[in-house]
Amino acid sequence: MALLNPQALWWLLAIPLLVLLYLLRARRRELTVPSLVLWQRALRDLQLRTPARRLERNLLLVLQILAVCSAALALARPHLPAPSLASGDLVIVLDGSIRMQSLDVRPSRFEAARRAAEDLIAHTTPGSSAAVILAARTPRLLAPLGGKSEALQALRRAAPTDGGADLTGALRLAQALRRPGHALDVHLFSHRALPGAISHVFAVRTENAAIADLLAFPQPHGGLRALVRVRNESSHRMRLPLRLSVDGQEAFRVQVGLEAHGERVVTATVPPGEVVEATIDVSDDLPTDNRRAALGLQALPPVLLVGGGSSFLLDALRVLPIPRLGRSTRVDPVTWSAYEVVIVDRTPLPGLPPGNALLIGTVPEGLPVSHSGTVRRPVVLRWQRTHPVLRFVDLTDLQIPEALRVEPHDGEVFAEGEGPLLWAYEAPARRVILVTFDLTRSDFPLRPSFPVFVYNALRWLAGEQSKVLAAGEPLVLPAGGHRLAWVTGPAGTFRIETSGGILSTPPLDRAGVYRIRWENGSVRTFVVHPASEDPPPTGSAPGPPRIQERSVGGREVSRVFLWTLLALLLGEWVLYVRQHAPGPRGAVR
Amino acid sequence: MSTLLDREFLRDLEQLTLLVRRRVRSSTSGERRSIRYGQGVEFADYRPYQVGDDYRSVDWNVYARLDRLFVKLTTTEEDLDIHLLLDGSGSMRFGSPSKLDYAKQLGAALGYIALLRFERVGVAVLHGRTCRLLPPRRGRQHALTLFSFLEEERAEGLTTLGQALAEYAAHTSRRGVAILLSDLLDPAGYEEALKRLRYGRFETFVVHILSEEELTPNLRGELRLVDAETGSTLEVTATGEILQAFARTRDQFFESCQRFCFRHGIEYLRTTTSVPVRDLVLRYMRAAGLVRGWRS
Repeated sequence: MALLNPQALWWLLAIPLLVLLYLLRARRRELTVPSLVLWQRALRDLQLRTPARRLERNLLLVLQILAVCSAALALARPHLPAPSLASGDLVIVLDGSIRMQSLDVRPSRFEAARRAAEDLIAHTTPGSSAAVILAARTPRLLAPLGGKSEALQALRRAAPTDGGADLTGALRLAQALRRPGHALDVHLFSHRALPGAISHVFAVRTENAAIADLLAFPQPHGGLRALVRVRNESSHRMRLPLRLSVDGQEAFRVQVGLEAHGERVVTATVPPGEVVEATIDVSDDLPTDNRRAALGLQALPPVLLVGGGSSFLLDALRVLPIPRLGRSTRVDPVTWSAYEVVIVDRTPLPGLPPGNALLIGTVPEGLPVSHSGTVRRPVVLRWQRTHPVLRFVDLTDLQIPEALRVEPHDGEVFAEGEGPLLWAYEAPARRVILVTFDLTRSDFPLRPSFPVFVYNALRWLAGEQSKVLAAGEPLVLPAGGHRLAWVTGPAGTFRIETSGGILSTPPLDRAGVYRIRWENGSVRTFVVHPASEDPPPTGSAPGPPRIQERSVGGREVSRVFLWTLLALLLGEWVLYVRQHAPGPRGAVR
Repeated sequence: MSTLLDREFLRDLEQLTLLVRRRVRSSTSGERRSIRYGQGVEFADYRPYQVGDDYRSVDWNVYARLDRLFVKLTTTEEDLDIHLLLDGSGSMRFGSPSKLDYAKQLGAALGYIALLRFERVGVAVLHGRTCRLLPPRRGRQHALTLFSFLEEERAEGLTTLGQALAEYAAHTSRRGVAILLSDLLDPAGYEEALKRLRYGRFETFVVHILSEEELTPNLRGELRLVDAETGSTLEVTATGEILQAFARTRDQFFESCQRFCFRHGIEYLRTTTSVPVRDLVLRYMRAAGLVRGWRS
């Protein structure tokens, strides 16, 4: 029998405390009686009648100790492994997300899951086949259906990533391995259960603080404005020491107090530098997400503003270090092509020339979106807080008197109410962001996050996002004629050969700062972010962390101890009532 | 006259006399029939003449008829000594009124009855292993002395009934009726004490005095019971079961007292302090045959 949460056995320390409390419990009331003769005889008689009477005197304490033991054992989640679960083809889907690095299950969720998976494979009937899939950002088939030894070797090679996990994709891949005429058992080893697989859940609690996001953008006077989103995922208040460093030099330090499941954005101005790193020095179950890096010196593209251009938009553009800001009142393809990004503010467009555009209150032809009338007073109901354009942008209670009623046929709606409010479209040689409402008639430009929105939008339109990757993604870059590159990251340095003028790395599983050194000695820096759990889709605060129960696989016997605990509490109640029942009345004369 | 007994009660007591079932032996002549044959006028029996018998007691008429010497025996009227023995231990402090106060009133009433009937009445209050004595006296005028002696008594300390009564018996040459007023809650047991009285040829009465709180203790919760006499303690969780066991033990104790007294020819009467002394004497003691009307 194994314990899925052996830390719960610390609750057994409550037993000496209980005994101590029992000894120190309320003092007995002193009462002087004429004589103890009859009392002594009565007690002696009681003990003679029931030999267990002496034990019964302390039975309440004994029951309480047993109740504490049962509760501790129930919390420790004792688990009896099933002797032989699988007899046909067996597919092990091992969650390789950052959440599996959590230490709430010892030695870690991933390690415990891997051992359980090895145990499961070892107990399959002889002759059955096994496959192993690592559910990372994209599912990876570590071992195709084959012998048990290959599957066990693949399991031993598996390592968790700092990124997310596409569990649904991994389960689809597992089902795709089904062979005609063979039964297929898919076992998911994860921190949460999913339908469509026999789930083995490895999670006890969420005792974690994380840097959920970090953004640094240049200020006009030369410094960097850093925005750090700090999150407390635990169920109690935490005080987090946050540290910001620029190129390895500490630049800012603050204590951040966060309520349970709270989140806060900390802003700081730091000196300019290439890499800004935020760190919270706290010991929690998941240390990987306590550090996050961002690039500091990111150039913005030249921008052309077509149309009226509200003063708020102009102010935001002037605040940002845009190298060249042009203005035009009409759409001129020649002028357009001289700028990397064009902002069209409420100017009708017959057609959209090639290039990247931020469209405000106008829908040109040639895009996969149709326009039909307007929507009165739309309310922002959902927005993707993790979308690159909406990082650190708050759309809560945004006042919009009127918006265009549009119907996208492609692209991605990343903010919507009764209809799409913000829409992004990406095609070869074209990126478009559509804002369906007039900025001047909403309070969006008045918000502190408006310049951040403009900054994010310009960077996304300029394709600068390629410098920021999520862990588990491969890096694909134009090689520019180079044949070789050396990539140095948190896991060490490896050499990459370019192919067809493209540098393509394997998935970068470790979060951190990476540097690519080309043959000619030039260096390019980019960062890989760890995955952060998606907050709820609305603008409300994130909900409490989910702790899943083990679903299938083996037998968890916590329920037995819970029933035992219930029985003990019931017995204690009965005993208490029995001992405190009123005594006989009436005198003997 | 006395704080112990009111005038009306005293008047009622004047109509009573103590009923002694057996003949007693005393050293002085009095009104009670003695177990000894002697100088009385009431014929009792004949017995054959023995050498040394007084010729004056020979019944010559019988000699004339039977030609054998017989001595005529007459009963002697002697005094009766009433020994009022009050338990003065700490346990007698309890009750409302206290058991000792109750015993004092009862002792005063019985002593008053006896003094009116020209009996000699002495009092011993048992403290510790010794006793405080009021020597036996006769006469109505002795009542005031008796009352004031009793009024001064206080319940205190541990009394070992057996030893205290042994000492009393050893220092008392005159036997008579011993009336023990006690709760009999002696850690060493009451049996030895009563046996000593019986072996000392006392006609013994026991009035077992208890308080209501002893009969039905109204206790709840975690208690440390302290013995009023010894100071020893006992930790008790006053549950229904414990109280039931106490009630069982109490009943067994009463039954054993009663059985012991019956087996040893001791008159036994149990009462509680909630029963007025007046009712006890005039109704219950009379019904039990311990007292009776003087004229009846």
